[in-house]
Amino acid sequence: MKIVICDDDKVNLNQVKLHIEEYMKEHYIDADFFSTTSPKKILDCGEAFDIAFLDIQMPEIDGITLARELKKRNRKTILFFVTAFGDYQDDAMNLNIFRFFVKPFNIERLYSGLDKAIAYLDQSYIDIYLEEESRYIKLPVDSIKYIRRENRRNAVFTVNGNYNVSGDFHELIDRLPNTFFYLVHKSFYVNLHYITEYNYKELHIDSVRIAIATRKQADFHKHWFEYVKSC
Amino acid sequence: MANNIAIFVTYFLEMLMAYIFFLQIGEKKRGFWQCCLIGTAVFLIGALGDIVFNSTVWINAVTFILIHFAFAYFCFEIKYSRVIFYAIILDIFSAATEIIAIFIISVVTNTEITAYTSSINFLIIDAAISKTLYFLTCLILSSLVKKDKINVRIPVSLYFYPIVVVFTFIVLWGICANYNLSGAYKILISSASALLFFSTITLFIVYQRNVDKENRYLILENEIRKEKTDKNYYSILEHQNKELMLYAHDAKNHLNAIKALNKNEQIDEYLTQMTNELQQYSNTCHSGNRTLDVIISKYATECEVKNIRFDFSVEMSNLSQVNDYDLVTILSNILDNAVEAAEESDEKFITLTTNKVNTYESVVVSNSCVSPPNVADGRLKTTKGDSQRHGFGLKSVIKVLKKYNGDLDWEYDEEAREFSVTMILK
Repeated sequence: MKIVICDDDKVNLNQVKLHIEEYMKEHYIDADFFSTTSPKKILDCGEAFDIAFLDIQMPEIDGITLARELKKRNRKTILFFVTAFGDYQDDAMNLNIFRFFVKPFNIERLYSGLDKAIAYLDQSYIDIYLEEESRYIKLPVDSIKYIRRENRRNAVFTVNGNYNVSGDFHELIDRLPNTFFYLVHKSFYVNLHYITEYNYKELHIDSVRIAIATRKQADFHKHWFEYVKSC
Repeated sequence: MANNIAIFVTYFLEMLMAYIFFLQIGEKKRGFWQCCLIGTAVFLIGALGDIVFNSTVWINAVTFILIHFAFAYFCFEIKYSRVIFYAIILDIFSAATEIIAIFIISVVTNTEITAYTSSINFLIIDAAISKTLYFLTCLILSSLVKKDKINVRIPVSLYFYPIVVVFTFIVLWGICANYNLSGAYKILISSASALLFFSTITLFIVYQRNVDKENRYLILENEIRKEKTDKNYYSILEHQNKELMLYAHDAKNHLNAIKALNKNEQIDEYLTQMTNELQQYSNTCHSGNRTLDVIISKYATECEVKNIRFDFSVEMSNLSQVNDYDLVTILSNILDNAVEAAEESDEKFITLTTNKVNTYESVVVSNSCVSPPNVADGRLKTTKGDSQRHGFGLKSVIKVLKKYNGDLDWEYDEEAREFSVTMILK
C-alpha cells in the first residue's frame, strides 16, 4: 500500500506519519511511505497513491490542488485532509474526501478513519470475471451499479457500460460481496454506492427507478441507514 | 325480523358508547372511521351470537366482555389488564342499568314489570332508557378512573343532557302505557325515542372530536411558538458570539503586537498562553454555515455545563442548503433529546457528524443512553409523562426532512448503551 503524507509543518508531518505507521504495523499491512514538507515534490514524482494525507493550507501549492492531481493519477485514492481550524472548505467538497481532521489530532478518529479506508480499499480492489458471449470480462466489483435478472441472462450495468452475462442470477450474485450489495427485488441486485434517490418504496440509480419488494422494504430501510451511518 | 334489526341497532349503539368510553380513558390507535369500521364488525359478530343463541343471558354476558375487549385491543392503546377490568365492569353496569330501567319504569308509570315484553314499541323505549342510563354510568365511570391521558374532559353541565333524556323517555313510556294511543302514535313515539337516544350518543362523539382537534391545534401552536423562540434565541446568541469573536480577534492582534516588541521569554510564554485561551472563544465551530455554528456552540456550551462530552465533525457538509428555520427544528429537537438522555447516563457523551453519502447529505447524532427507547408500532415513544406533547418533536423533524427528500432512522445499541439517529437529506 502506498501512502503519501504532506504537511509544511515538519512536527505535524512526523506526528501523522508515526501514528499511521503504528496503525499499519498493528494491522500487519505493508506500507510504503512518501512523506514530505514540499507539495511540489509530490507533483514532480508522478507516482499514484492509495491513501493521501494532505494539509490544506500550504505555501507553494495548496492541498486541494494537490488532491485534484492525485485523483487524476488514481481515481481510487483515499483523501484525508488536515486543517488547522476546522474551516469548511467549499471547493474541496466535490473531491470526494474521505475524512477531515482538525489539528490537534484526535487519534481515535484517525484510527477509525483508517479502518474505514482499508475496508473501502479492500472492496474497491476486488475484481470479478464475467462471461459475455463466451469471452471473459474483468471488472472491479465496485464498478457494478446493479444487476437485473432477465430471461436466462443477466444485465450487468456498470460505470463503464452494460454487459449481458449468461448463467444463473443467484450464482452470479453469490459471487459479489453482500456488504454493499442488496437484493431489493427478486430480479434486482443493487450496489448501495450508486443509489441517487431513496424513498421507502423505491430507489433510483441514475435515472432508473427500481421498486423495492414490499416484504423487503423495512429491512432495506435499516440496511440503507446502516450504510449511511457507516460512511 | 324487527326484533333482529333492533338487536343489530342496539349493538351498533353499544359500540359507539364503548368508543366514547375508551376514548375517555385511553389513546386511539387508528382514525375515527377505521375505529368505527372495526368496532361495527366486532359488535355485529356479537349481535349474530346473540341472535343464534337466542339471547341466552350468560352467553350474552360473556360475548359482551369479549367484544369490548376485542374493540379496545384493536383500536385503543390501553393496558390489557385494564381493558379486561373495564369490560367486566361495563358488563355489570349494562345488566344493572337494564334491571334498574325496568324497575323505575314500572314504579314511576305504575305499570307491570313485564310490560316491556308486550310490544316492540315498549321494548324500544325500554332499551333507550336502559342504554341511556348505561351511557350515563359509563361517562361517570370514565371521569372517575385514572386516565392515560389528559385529553377530553366532559363538563358536568353536559351530564344533564342524558339525565333529561332519560326523564323524557319515562314520560313517553307513561304516555304510551296509560293513554289509549293509536298504533301509529306508538310507533312514532318509540322511533322518536330511538332517534333521541342515537342523537345523545352522537352529541358526545362530536363533542369529543372537537375537543380533540382543539387540543391538537393547541399543541401544534405551542410547538411553533417554541421554535420561534429558539430562532430568536439563536439570533441573539449569534450576535453575542460575533461580538466576542471580534473582541478575541482584536485582543489577539494586540497580544501579537506586544509579543513582537517584547524580548523577555517569561512574558512571551505568558502571552502565548493568553493567545491560546483566546483561541477557545474563536474556534468552537467554523463550518461556513452561521446557523449551524450557532446551534453547535449553544449545545457545546450546554454540554460543558452539564458535564457531557460533545464531539462534532461538520467539515464534510455544513448543510448550507437547509433553511435556518428548518435546521433549528431538526437539530434542536434531536440534540435536546440527546442531551436529556446523555445527562441521565453514566458515560455522558454526544457526537454529531455530517457527511456526504451518494447524492445525500447525512447527519448522525449518537448519544449515551441508559435505557432502550420506548417503541410502539415501530415508532419511537417518549419516556416522559406527557406523551401527547413530546411525540411532536420527532414528528416535526421527519416533516422537515421530507421537505428535503430526506428521511431518518434510529437504533439503540444495547451493549454500548448508545442511541443514534441517522438522517439523510438533499
